[in-house]
Amino acid sequence: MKKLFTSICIGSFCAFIAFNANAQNNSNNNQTTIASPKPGATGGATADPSQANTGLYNVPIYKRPLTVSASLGTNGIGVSARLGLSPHWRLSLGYNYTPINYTTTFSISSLQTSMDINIHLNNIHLFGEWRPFTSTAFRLVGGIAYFMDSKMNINVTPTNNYYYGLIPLTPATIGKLYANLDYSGIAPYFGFGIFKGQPAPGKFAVNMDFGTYVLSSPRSTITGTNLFADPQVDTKQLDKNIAGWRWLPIVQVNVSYRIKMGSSKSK
Amino acid sequence: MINKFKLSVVLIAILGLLQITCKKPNTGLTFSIRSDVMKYTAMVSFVDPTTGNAPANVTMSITGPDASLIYEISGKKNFYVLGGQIALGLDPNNSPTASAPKKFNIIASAPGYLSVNVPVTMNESIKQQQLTVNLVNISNPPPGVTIIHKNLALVNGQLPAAVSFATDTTNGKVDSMTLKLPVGLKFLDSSGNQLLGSSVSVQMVHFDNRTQSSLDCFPGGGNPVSNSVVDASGNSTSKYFTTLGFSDISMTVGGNVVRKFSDSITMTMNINDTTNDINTGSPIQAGSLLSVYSYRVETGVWQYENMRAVTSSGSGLIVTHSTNHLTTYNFAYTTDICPNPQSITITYPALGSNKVTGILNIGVLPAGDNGVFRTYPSIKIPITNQSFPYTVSLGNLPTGQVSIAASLFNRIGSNSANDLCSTPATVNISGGAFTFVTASIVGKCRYDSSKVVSPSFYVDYRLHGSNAQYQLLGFVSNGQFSTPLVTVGKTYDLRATFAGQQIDTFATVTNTVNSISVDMSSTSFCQQ
Repeated sequence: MKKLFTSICIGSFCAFIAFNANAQNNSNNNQTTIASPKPGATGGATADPSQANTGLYNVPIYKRPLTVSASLGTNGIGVSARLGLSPHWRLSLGYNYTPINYTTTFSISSLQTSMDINIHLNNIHLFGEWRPFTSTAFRLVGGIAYFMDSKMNINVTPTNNYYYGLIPLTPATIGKLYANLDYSGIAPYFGFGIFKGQPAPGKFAVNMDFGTYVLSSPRSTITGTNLFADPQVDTKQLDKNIAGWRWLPIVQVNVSYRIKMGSSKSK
Repeated sequence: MINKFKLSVVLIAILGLLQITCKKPNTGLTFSIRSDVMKYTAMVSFVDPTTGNAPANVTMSITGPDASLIYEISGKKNFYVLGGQIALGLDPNNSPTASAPKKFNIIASAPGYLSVNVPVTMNESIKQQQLTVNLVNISNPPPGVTIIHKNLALVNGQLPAAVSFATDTTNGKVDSMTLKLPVGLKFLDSSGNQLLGSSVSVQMVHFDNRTQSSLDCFPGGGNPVSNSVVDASGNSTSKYFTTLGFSDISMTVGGNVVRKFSDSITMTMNINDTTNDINTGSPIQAGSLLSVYSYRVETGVWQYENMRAVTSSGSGLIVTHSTNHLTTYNFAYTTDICPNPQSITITYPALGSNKVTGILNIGVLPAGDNGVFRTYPSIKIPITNQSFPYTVSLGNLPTGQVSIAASLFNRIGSNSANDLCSTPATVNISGGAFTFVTASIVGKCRYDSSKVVSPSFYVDYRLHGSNAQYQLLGFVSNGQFSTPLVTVGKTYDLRATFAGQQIDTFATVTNTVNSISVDMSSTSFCQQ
């Protein structure tokens, strides 16, 4: 078991894997002390003594509990596959796509504008899940994602006339301003999950994740037309200011289905 | 114990999620917007050609078909002339097109000076232009211009005897104008009503075609082309005038302006016999036919009056014209204007790949116009961050074969025998390499560090400490500027016209590449 985890170690994720190996040992050491199942137990913080069934994990990797999930949340829609490695550890691989279109208003001096924010984030991710309390479905989640072609485009369009002296400058005359933030790159993730993440074979379960990605520092470019053409923005300062705009908070609902390979329930 | 440790890890992780803090995106951020709101501008300078100085107390107004679209450069309708200059701009919502240039007139006057009406056209391809408007000082006219004043007694509102008088030919002036008024002449207003008084005050101004300062005073701002011409058939058209001389005659009776007469008056003008007849390309001679056009400052329209033949007299060649109304009269050859003029490309190898700022002069003369006594009548184009070759499409070009001249940075190139109505032309300006001085100018507000502008403005210059007149150095666009006209190590007086204000300063050029920060706290940009 320990040998397998070491072989899939990636970057900062290694720490989780190493800890996983120890946790697995601890779990094994303590397995005889776990109480018997309680009738009617469900997910969340409810205890499930089936966690102690280490027999699920004493089989080749391809026979261990495998769950597929569809998700919906602040990072858009996604799919993932989760593999149970031990009563404490799971590994998931997934893809998320975030299409966000948002319009708000913004004013520059007396100029009113409409600001269209268009966010497209694509990522593939590899997470490890650690269940510190085998008596509950609570889990800590950490891992890494690669964001591809992930950008935030902001289009600023004037909505009213702006007066230059006595001359009303129409929105068409003023032009448009385009800001582009590029978040592509590698992003660590950390968070936690609640409710049953690994249902019984052939069953569905609903669970939730809360956490955040730490995106790459965005790189900004600003262009414009007409009076906004060639805006000489101090982009270094802008990049510095938005360097903290790296946190992508996640609240996500997952619907999981356990593929029939194992035979026992788990969380 | 181990569970407490795990619980601590969980709590720290959750608290970590709550530590998300972001800086405001505009903290310490400067954002520069374009200050050249008006894309089409004209820098107008009013000059007394006798002294080269600006007349005092110049007042002006804007008339014409597109007058409502013209603003002072700050976007206001306050047309105040400061230091003899004013920058005008076109409403940016109404840019000219190739088929619909924008046209307006500048009516200007100053105490003790002749009033002028200068038509201005903003073409699609020329975004900035420089206009020099010469105002003639009645008490001290420039070379080539003579003025005579007469106060003639009237009896019962009529001239008691025939009168004849002429402008002087002193101070090197060769040609003159003679005016003859018949006995019994009555003086009428524009409605034909007789003006009664004890005397008539006469002012007659003659402009020859031998001196540049005189031709610079040609009605319409010295431009030989007018788009407001009523031809012999009564049609509105455009003409290029090759003038043999022109006059401005005004009279008042009891303070009332005389517009008409009860009888014809006769004006006789000496002709410069070295001027070419543009129809033959040879010097003018007796029998040559000249067109006579009248002009009124109030309307800016040239009205065809008649054709007159040049005759010989004891004093040389003369032309005579009789009329019963008063105004400006022009004796000239005329040339039609190209309906679809072709482009002119200026090559300037000495500039290399530099993008330069300066004043490009382009002049076009009909081939038959020998232009012996004058420079090319030219349009002055402030070019900004422009690389060469540079191609420009000018309007108002005469038909037929023309000669073209172009000058920039005190070098001239020319090309002759072109028909710009049908064929594009190229003019090469040759010479050795220049040393350029470049500047990147940023305007800042003292009380709002986030507000930064890369200013666009006209800038004049002269050597510091000299009393010379300011010369237009160019139009600075978005703070970028490159010119060979200033030299490292020298100090210059600079005058910037920005947002309706003139800012005078001086600076020593210490490097060929300069970054300049300007405090613009006093301008409307910072105060908005």
